[in-house]
Amino acid sequence: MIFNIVHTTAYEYSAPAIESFTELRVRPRQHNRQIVHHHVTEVTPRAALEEFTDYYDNTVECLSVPYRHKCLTVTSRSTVETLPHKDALRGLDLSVSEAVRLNWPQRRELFDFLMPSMHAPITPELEALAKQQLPSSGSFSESILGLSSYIYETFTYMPGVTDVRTPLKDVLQKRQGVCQDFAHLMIAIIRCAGLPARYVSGYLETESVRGTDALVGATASHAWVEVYLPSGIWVGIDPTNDMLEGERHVQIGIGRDYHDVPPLRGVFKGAKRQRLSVMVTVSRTTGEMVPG
Amino acid sequence: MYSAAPGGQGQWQSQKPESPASQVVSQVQKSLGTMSLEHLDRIFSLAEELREEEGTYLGPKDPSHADRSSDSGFDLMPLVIGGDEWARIEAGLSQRVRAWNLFLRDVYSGQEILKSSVVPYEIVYADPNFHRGCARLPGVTSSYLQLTAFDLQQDARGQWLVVEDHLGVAEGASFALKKRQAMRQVASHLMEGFEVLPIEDFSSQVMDLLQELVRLPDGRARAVLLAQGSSDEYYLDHAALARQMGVSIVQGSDLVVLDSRLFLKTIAGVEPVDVILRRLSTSLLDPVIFDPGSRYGVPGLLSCVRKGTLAVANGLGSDLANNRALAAHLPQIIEYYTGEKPLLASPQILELRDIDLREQVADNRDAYVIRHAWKQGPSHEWVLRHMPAHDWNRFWQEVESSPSEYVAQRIPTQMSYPCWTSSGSRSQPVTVRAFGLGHDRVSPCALAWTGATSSLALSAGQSADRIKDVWILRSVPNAPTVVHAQAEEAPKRLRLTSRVAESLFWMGRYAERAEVTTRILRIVQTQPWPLNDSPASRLRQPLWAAMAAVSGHTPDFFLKPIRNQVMAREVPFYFLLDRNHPGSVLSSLLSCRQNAENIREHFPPEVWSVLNHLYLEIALYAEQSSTEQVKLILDDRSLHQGVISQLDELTGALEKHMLHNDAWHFWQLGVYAERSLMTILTLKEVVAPEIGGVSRIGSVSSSNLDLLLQMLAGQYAYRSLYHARPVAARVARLLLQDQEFPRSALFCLEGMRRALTATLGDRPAKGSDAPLKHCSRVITELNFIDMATYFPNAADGVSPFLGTDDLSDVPAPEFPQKLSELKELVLDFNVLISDHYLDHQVVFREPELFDLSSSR
Repeated sequence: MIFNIVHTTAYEYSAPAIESFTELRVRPRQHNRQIVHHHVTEVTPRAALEEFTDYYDNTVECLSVPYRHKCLTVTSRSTVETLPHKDALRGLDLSVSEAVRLNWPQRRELFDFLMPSMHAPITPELEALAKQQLPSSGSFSESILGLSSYIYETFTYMPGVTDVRTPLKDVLQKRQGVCQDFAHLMIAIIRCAGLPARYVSGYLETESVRGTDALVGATASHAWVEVYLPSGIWVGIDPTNDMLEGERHVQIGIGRDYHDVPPLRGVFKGAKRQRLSVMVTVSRTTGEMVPG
Repeated sequence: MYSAAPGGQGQWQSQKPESPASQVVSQVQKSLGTMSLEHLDRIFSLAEELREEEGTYLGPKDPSHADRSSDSGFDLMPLVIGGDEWARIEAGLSQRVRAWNLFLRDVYSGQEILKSSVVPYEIVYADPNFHRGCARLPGVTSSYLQLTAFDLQQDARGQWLVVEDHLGVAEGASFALKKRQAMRQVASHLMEGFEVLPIEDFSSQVMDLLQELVRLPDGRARAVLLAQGSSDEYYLDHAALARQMGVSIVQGSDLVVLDSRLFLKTIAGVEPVDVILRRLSTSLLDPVIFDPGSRYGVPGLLSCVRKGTLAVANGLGSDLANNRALAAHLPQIIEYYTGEKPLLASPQILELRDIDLREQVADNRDAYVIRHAWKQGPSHEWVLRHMPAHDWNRFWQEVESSPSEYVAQRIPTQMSYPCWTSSGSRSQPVTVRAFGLGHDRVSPCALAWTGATSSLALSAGQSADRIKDVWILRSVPNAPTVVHAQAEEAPKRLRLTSRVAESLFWMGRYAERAEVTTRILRIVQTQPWPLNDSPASRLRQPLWAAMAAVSGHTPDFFLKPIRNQVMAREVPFYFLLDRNHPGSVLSSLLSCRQNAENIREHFPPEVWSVLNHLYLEIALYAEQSSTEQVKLILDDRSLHQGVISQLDELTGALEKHMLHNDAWHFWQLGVYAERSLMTILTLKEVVAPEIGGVSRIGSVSSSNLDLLLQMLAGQYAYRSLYHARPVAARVARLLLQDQEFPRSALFCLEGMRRALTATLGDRPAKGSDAPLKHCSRVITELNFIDMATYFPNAADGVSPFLGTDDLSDVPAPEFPQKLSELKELVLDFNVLISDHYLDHQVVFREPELFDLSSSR
């Protein structure tokens, strides 16, 4: 499928801001199931974009606006083609403990995704959930899918209840949250079981198109989880929609958790407060390029 | 691998008595022993004086908190290390630097050492000082380590052991330089006849390393020293190093990134920076990449490094190599990269993630000290012998829950060294900090301190007395001195940074405000209370209004008894000692001192010592304000007199000790700006008051004019000019227009004009001279005031020496308005200064982090 994605982030400051410095992670990744045909990022006020690749191979663009400005708008336009995913979990005859053992030779490469991280800590509560959802003798595939369903059924998707700073402890207690919280929850539980999991930041086609289901996560960017298979493949699972990552998911970047791949992070001086608005549209096309 | 043998402490003297070092030691001991008691007393009191002059150069900022109980005075006995011995230390430390450098290069690129399992990758990946944002940075691939430090101790058998590596930021060298300087001043004869390596070129060698790092084709790279500021316990060390290197010491807010280039904000605009000597850990350097809570970094700093426009020493991410669990693998690291065996040993480090080692430590805990793997400082070191049993259980639980964060070391048996202080001679264990310069040299400028059994951080409570001079002997006696060839450089004139200029400006303003407030209070407090219903009270009301106006109140402050709670007897306390009153002398002095504290390196210690003493004294009186003694000196105004003479002393110290440079000019600007404002405000309240915009002019009593002159220290000036009792027109002229009276508005404005002209130079940049133009405009305004129009009834105008006693003193109704205009003009000046030299754009605030928080 080919999507045109337009992602606009606007900051309006309560007073003129100066010396702002911003990092963007909004360029979709290129890999064997995803081809980026076109990408451009526009910034108002005008500022030069510097580009680099981070530790996890995500593309980062950064910009500085030294002079006084009342608002900052970043628009990223991408045309991305996604290819059908093979269901890598199907037919996998493997227990959780076998998976842990088989991953051992890759432990160094996977270590970042095995350790607790800022938004995905290891706590006794999460460890208990891991024991329950991912028992070591249980089937790896079934347990992982079961965990996704558990989160989907137990937690309510509810925007506005949590934000980036909400710890998992509170999410567990409220049983509400957004895709980011569910992704962090799933990652933390998988890591408690000794399995590698990572955070995926991306987009999702949410509207129902030609008989497909409408999906949750409409207004802004989306987040889900990848879990590592001993065969060397990362499999994407979206606990917010209780489904495997598919053609309607577009990946931007990966990291240990949200902190490694925020779409936008920056610092400014001057104003006390800012108002944020985000607009994302993901629309299917016939494959024609949209002029940047 | 070394582990200390049990047994008593070794004695330095007993080791190889024939070695050159021990010969020097016995000779120094001999000369000390033959000195008369009087001579020694003289030396120790001289050392004490030096320390007083310096202020506490190694120790807490507030002398009242100084813990001197453990001190026993200046130590005259140097630590002597023979040339051959030093050469071995140098070789061993250089080997470490080279190995660590290759390690850092590898870990931040291909990670071959981790792939080949020479070092457990868990140690690296789990350390928060392994900054993934620093991986594959161009620019730092060649060298990570410029200035490093190593703490060394000698075991009972005399073997040198490296007990700690400081590879991110190496601090403390200036303390060694200060000690050497003090030794030369108090007892230079002790050194005579010995070939001790000079240490004075330390800072220029560091500077050379920075230049090498950048290698600009077209001249010298612009360097700055980036530090946290006065809140850092090593702040004085940072400031001293910057001064000796001739570079600016800056904080994050002094710098700004524009288009991947780093700039320093100065009063003359922004200047590009090529290289930073950082005194901050990597995690604090860039709030966008690392710790978002850091207030000390520069947003975008990393983008400059990435673009190759900026070099940072030591390399970003090198703090990782301080990890003590990594240090446990140093022999393997050295062998992996260099193929060599370690030349210098370290006490064995036990990694507590190993359960067997954990048991070994728990079973035998008196012998161990436990340290955090990556957190530094005394609060992350635990001497188990000193730990009460119930603390132990809790502590051990913590260790067991995350064992990979802890390491243990056997407490070494250290050799003792002779010390010679005013309380006599004794032996103590010593730790030496040696500084590595680049990859193959170790500076002979080494720091040593006594008393610490392990290499506990040399932290703020420790006083200079614990420092020993370190003498490194030349290995070949009588060899020609290799002096680092230093071209005679023109003295450095660094552009003042905006932040420093701002602090000096405010120091000047607050000091002046404190003085004027005290002077006015001294007069006003003996006048009848303005609310009393008596002619005398009504007569003096304008003076009370002046008191209110200069301290931030409305002129009718004293006439509104219900709204304000200040009673007659509380007036002196309220204006002098009340912390809760922002206009009090104490509050002004506090603000003055706070500004000074942030920029202590920009003025001489003499100035700080006067200011600090004044503030602490007033603060003490404020605490004791309910005592009879303080009530008495408030009432008889001897406290006021004391404040005024100490402020005179402060001005004198500034005048005499400060370079009359840009910093001085900004102080002057502050003083004059405040003084002109105060003069205008006071004059207005006494001669031409307004209430609610309506002028309430009338005849001004001669006695009030006399008191007004006293309030502004103008009595002498007036009498020198006019041999008659004061009249309003003449007083107004003196206070506004006199060219020679230092408190007149004109004199102040001229002073500001001089300071601005000196700061801007001959050819000010376009637009940067707006404050100067404004200044000239106000001067013209002042010169054009014709007192005859404002005092129409003064028959002869106000020409001096007439001595007519019956001039009518009623000013024209326009006079109050004129004074208000002048006041506004002076206030506008503050804004202009701010816009042009200090903020460059708008008032600073702390950087704020924003995060996209609406991912759904």
